Amino acid sequence: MPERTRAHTVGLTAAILGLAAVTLLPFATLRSSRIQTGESLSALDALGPWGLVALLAVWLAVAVASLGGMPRIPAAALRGVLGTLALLGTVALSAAAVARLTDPSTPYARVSLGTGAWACIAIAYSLVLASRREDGLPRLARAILSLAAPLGIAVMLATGTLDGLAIMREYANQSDRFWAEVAAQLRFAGIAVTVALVLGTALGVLAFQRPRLRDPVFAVANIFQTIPGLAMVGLLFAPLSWLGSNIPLFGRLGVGGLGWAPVITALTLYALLAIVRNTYAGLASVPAAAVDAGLGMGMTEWQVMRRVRFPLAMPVIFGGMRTAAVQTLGNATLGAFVAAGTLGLFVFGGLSQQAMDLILLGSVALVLLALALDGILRALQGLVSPRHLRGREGAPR
Amino acid sequence: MISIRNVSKSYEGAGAAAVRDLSFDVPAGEVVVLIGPSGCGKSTTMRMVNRLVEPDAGTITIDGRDVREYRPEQLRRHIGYAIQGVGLFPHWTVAQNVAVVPGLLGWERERVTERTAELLELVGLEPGGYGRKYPHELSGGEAQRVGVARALAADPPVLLMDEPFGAVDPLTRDRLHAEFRAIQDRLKKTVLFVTHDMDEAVTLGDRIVVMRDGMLVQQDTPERVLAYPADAFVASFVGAERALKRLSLAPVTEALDPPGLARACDCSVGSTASLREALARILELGVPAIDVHDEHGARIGTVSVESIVERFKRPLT
Repeated sequence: MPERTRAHTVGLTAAILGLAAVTLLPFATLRSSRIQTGESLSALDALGPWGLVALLAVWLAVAVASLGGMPRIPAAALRGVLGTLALLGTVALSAAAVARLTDPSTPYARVSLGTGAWACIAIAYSLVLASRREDGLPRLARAILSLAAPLGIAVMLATGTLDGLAIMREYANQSDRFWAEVAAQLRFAGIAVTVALVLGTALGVLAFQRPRLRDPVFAVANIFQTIPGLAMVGLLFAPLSWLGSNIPLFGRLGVGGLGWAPVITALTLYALLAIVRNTYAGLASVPAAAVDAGLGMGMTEWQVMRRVRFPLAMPVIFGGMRTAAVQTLGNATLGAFVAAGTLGLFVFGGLSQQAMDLILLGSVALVLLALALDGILRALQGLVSPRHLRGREGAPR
Repeated sequence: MISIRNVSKSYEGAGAAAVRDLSFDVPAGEVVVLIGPSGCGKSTTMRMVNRLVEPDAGTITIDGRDVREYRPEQLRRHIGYAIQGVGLFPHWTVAQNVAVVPGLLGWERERVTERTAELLELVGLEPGGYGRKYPHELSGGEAQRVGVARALAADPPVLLMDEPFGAVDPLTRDRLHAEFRAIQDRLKKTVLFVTHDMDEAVTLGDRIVVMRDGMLVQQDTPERVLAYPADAFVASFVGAERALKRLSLAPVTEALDPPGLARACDCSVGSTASLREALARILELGVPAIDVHDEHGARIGTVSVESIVERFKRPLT
């Protein structure tokens, strides 16, 4: 007998919120040009009756799939599929709305997604993620649910389906700069996390091996977290400028109060805590009996560290690195403050021009990058876990 | 032989010394069980032999050489080590776990593989099936067998064992004890064994060293510790049933009367049984005496409640 379940709270909540978002919130915004305040359109106005019915039907189906009575695992898979459908449907219908709402006589008019559409996308993606995590779901189903929504969006982007949307027209204007800034964003985050990984692991090991140093190490790593990003680059301005102008090597490398130096320094300092903390916690969580056995059989301290402590602490250390990497990728926007570029430029530029679509171009790209990075690192986490932990209860997902 | 001479150890911050002026020997080829309540210093004493703990005073020698003459790692690679909770490396297979010390000693790969299989067989685990398993796939008893195999891996003359058979059910424990005794009778290792369980001490030890508050209270054969506890502490530690424990140490042949008339009932025990088993059989059958037969089934004598009592009156040498 397959187990039958009661109502699924997450699914029901998503369905109710989804229906509310479609019916109550403005679904799209129509502007006569890129910097005009626009006119909010309901889902009916934006999508037309059939589009509205289609979207409502998907959310109602989510509600039905969450009411219970179905076997647990197929119900979760169905909710995942419906969530994917709601997400892709919202995007595709919005793109189709552009043609309904504009014509060649209004070449500067812009149609962008409204709060209702964004809410639908967020709720639908949360539903997909929640369904994907259901215990007992086959690996293949998990993989399909993880990849379907991103792939669907990618196909729509590649085929030009979304080109009419305001955010994509903004992208078309900025496409050269866009990829340069994405690269800058990734480069800063990548370098900072690498440096923080080396420094942070070393500090974590030090704090673990010298109990007297533990409190000072954590105090320092914690202090950096309390300094806001803008204040941090401000504080770094004077010392880095001095270094750049007084030490020829640094000067030639481009160290200064502006540019890459303050960004990477600040990001590294922010990333330290998660890495130090997880390195320490991971090493401390290694079973004492295994360490005692290693020493008692004649391993040197270094051999115990390399063969026993580190492999067993690896999942926790990697988890810290993942947290740090995703955070750092987001934090890298502060490069825009110090003339170092990054996607932050679009966000801040958009804010100063009051160009909503430019802000969205920067922030949506940022969110997508962060989600992709998190997904890749999660997948890698399984690979670095010791074999005995893989595919078991309590294994990191 | 392990010789411990006038060894003392205090830990920083702790009030009393953990070990005070302790001296005893572990003769070559024998099992000496260090026993005492928790915190009596028995584990500390054991850990000083392989220098996981350094003594404040006194000397420890193995076959006449001071352990301080060796580098700690070199010393430990030549002393088998099995501990409470087994301490198997959870991320390594059973075979990899057993191969730790041979690996540290730089043995060649084929020799390590061969030795690992041999040891798993010795402790009663089928090498083909168990070698590839991970520790979390083993039962408690199986993990402890692997622990023993790992300690024996490089064929060290000396073994240190700190409650290696703790935390398993009594049945498994009895079986592990019997197997360990059988292995020890073949290999004749010099073993220092730590436990807080008197039954285990009596079953496994050739000699018992009783410790309390870091000091030696009594050292003797198991039977003499049971028969003549040195003081009230040892008496209470060996427990009220010490006479029964003694019975299990003595073979039935030590209380043998000449065979009497043939009995009608099926009431006999084998000559390898202990007096405890014989007495249990007598009580079960409700008879005053039962026969003892040898491995061919021939009657070699009788054992009775009287003969057992007489045996216990005789002073031990």
